[in-house]
Amino acid sequence: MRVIRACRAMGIASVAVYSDADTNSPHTRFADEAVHIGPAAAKDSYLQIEKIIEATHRTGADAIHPGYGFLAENADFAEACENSSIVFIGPTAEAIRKVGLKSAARRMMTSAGVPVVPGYDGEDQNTETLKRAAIETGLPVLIKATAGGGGKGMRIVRDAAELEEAIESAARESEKGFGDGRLLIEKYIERARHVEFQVFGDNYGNVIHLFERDCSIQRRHQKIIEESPSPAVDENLRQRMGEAALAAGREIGYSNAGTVEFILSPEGEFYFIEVNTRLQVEHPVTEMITGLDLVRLQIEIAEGKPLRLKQEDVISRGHAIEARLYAEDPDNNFLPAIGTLHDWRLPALDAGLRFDAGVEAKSEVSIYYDPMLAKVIAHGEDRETAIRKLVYGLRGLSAQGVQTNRDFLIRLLEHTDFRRGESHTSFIEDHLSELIGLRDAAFDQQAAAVAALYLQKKRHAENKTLPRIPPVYRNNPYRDPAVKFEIGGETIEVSYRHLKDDVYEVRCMDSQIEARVLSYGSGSIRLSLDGIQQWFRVVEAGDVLYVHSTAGARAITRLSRYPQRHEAAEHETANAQMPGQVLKILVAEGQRVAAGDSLIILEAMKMEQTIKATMDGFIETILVKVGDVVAPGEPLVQISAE
Amino acid sequence: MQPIKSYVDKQSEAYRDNYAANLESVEKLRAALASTTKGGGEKYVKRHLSRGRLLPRERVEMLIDEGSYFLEIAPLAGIGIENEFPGAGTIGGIGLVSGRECIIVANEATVKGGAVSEIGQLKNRRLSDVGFQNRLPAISLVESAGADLPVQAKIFVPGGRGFREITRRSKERIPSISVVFGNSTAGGAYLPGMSDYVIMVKRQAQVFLGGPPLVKMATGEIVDEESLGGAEMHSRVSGLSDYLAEDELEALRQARDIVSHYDDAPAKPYLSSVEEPLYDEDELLGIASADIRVPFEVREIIARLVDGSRFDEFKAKYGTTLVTGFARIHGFRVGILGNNGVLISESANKGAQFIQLCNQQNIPLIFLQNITGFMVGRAYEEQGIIRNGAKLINAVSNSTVPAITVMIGGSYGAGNYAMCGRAYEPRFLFTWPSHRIAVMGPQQLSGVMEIIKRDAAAKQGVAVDEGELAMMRKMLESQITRESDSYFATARLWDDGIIDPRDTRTVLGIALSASYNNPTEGTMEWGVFRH
Repeated sequence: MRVIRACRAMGIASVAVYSDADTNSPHTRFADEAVHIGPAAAKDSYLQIEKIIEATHRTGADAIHPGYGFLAENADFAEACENSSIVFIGPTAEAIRKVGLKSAARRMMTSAGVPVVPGYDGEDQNTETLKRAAIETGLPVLIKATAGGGGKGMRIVRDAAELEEAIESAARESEKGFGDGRLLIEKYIERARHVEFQVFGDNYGNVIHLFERDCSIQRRHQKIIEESPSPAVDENLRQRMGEAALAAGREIGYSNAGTVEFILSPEGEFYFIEVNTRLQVEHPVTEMITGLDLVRLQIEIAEGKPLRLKQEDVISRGHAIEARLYAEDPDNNFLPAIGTLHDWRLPALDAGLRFDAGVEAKSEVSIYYDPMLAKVIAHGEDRETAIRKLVYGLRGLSAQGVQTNRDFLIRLLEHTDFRRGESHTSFIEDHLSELIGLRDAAFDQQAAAVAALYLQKKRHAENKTLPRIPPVYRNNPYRDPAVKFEIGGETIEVSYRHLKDDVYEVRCMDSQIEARVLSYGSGSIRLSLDGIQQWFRVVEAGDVLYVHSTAGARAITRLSRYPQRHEAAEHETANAQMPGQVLKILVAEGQRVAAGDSLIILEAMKMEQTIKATMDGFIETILVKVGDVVAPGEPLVQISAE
Repeated sequence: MQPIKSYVDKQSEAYRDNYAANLESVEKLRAALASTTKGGGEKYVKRHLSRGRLLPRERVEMLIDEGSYFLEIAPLAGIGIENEFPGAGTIGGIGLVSGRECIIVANEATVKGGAVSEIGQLKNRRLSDVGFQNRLPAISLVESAGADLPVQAKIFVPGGRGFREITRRSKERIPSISVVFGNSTAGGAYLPGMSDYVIMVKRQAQVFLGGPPLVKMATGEIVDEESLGGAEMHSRVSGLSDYLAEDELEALRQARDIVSHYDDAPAKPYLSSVEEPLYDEDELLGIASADIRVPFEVREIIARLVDGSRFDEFKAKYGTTLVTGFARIHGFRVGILGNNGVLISESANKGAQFIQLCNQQNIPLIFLQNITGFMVGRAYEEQGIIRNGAKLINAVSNSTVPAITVMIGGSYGAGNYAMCGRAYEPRFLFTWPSHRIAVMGPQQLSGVMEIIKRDAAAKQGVAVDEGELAMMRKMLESQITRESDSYFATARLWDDGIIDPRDTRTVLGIALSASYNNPTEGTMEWGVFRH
């Protein structure tokens, strides 16, 4: 979507590729043309180099933007493009290969004078060698897969006794994950930050950087909050780190967009980690502070144009911060969530707020791809304003039907320590108890009250018999109407009384409010609750109502007025349905049977009729014997549940 | 249609006095109504609940659609009568079930085990009539010990009518459902027995002609209640029950499902958007005289009942003691007849003509009764007040469009008949709390009696005992006062209930809508008019 938008702005027609799962996805529909490249599983579609190259031939496309994931850092893919005379919008295959292996990249940087984290990146992968290297580096250490990324094959070791086990399991995991079991060892820097520099090179040896991004807030070693400038980087440090990033870029002979990643210690020492050879998810942060369109810059460079900016032309204005909205459950170890996005609505866009979303209402969030739903980016004159704006944007966003980390992000952004700029890569782990498992019971009740009023209003609006008489009129009032909901496993009952016009007294557990319905439309309701006016979004999907306001969001399940009885009957008798003779008894007393099992065959009206069990249980008594003549309705077999 | 212009002065002393007094009457009504919702008292309610059963009113609430209205008919039947409970052991009314207007009758199981009392029987009969006259599907929520045996003499013989009516309604394609929650024995067994659909609740329903003691007495057979007439037996063996419900809620759901397969109700006239009246219904309390002897302007009442307060008055300048005209209530066209004084020949003739016009165009009639009667006196008799009054009664009697009567003040003498009193079978009849009903006012009646006594004494040439006469007059006056009270009337099913005047528009809407389930055509056939 992001790339297509840039293409459109430049008058370039776009072609998307899509898998079975994305037949109707926004990106598929947004492009001028879209080519089907296979089934849902990425390995059969989005990772199929040949199919993608073929798609360019079929549509006459002359360049490929590889996006942020899948094949974006795949040298073979870049090479395949080069071989097919397709422009790959990104660095050369050679550059990708150079930095692809972490150990090689470390060595290259060392020679370019860029500081690297003390550690071991040798070829000798003997466990003993690695152990010794770790001890020499000084515990704690980080064991990493040379070929890896995304946290896979990564271990933090604080105790020498754990080294051997950690090394072996990391090696196994990287072998399995990347087909390369080689490891490198780095000193683990406690409370370090992740600070990266956006760099751009052209095909003429020019390299510039577009300042840093602080991506220290991570969960499961993945970034979820990114900002620029970093609260921990002053002008002097920025100067030095920027120089290092440029040196790195020059050393590689880098063209197009890349990111040089550093670790920044609490003492202000920085070390090179790796180079990302693609446009990154968090690039909008840089766009918002520099006012540049990075995709456009990428395309221009790929077109063979020289960089139109010199380093001194790049100016950072204000503060930008991005939050990644994921379909995941923060309360359950951030496990990805799937389902249908029954509601997806962005708040009204104000200046300095940006939403980059790959989904829309009714989108299916599947197991196949990354569970990131959207990025919300805010820009303000200072950090405080940018954070406030981001929180405001997240509060206004309604994403329901699938569990998301929205509330978690809001709590994170509002955390005092974060607000003070005290972030580091284990911030979430350290503050976990303040960030997850929290439940605002008052909002549960409010949301339930809103749902009840919404349903009441809807019924009234749809009522064809006497639409204008007062709601739930009784000339002899007995009790107030009540409705039962389930919210997060708890049952909440809401009762309400119509006072006059559109005013109701609503009771929910220990709270009582006076609510006035100010306006009602399909999908939203405006209420005045004890005099405070607010919009609530309410989206129905089956028995579930998704209620959203700036104060929160809840999935509320309407419980049936007539609950299904699950408990089985204790006794049942199987009876004859026609007059007949018992031909065969198929069960014995004490035998266990399931509902639907055949019990007895009757011969009746010259037909065989099989009497079946109507419940699970065991045969308590058989009341007839073969040859007996039975009347209709006569009990034949007793079944007991216990 | 032009809206009525209101001249009510809310600051006037009369308005404020009326408002205060009428509000007090409404509070009294609320309290009386609340007394009907307590069942047979705490002890019996507790016992009922301890058996895991839903209270009868809860059954009604869970039967009707969420958000539906429920217009209870004769909720105060039996109030103030010896050996009767307020509500007479029955809850009955109109509500929506699966979107369909139904007449619902529930036995108040905590009152004498749901036994049918004398007034209870009258109420059941009225509810059956409401269902029949308006072609409303019936749903009975049964849990009744049968006839209240000590008063069997008063109910046994007429009691057969109820069962007869179920099958007659059935013949007329007005279906009935019995949901049996408990006892339904002896005669009561014919309630499910005659119904089109029967649902019985497992381990609760007991339906038999004679219980175990009677069976033992009659034949010596020893049998337990469950085998004799339990839900399982009737669902699997006797076939009296069509649906076996696991519990009460399932039974109610099944009843709703049955209604959902019924044929559609007859189409109602198309209703365009409904305008609220221009004036607040609350003002009715200040307008209607708290003192029944003080007349009040009926147009001010109409202005607060009809859509947009719009009223097309017919013959506004003629026979002005009866106001007639066309309007809409909740979108339904209506012809309204309201008293604005005593009936005289011109107003009677005008009323008869108006009823004929409404019949010609199938317009339902609304009678707003506040009537002391027809005018008496030599000039009026000479003018033919009887002859002209008879024309109005002829028209009221033979009219076939739905009629709904609201007694907003007095209802005295032949005025009660001419303005479609109970005997003239309006589809519904509601009263306001201040309403009084009798052949004449207590003072007039006792005064008349005094004159008759004096005349008789004079004829016999004896002196009247002034003390005795004064006492007689006083006693009679207080007796008549008591007997013309709206509670005395409603206790005896003379009406379908006392309503809060401010609910009148809503109640009329519900009643009109219910009436349209039986869209009777207006007639052009009448008895001989005595011109």
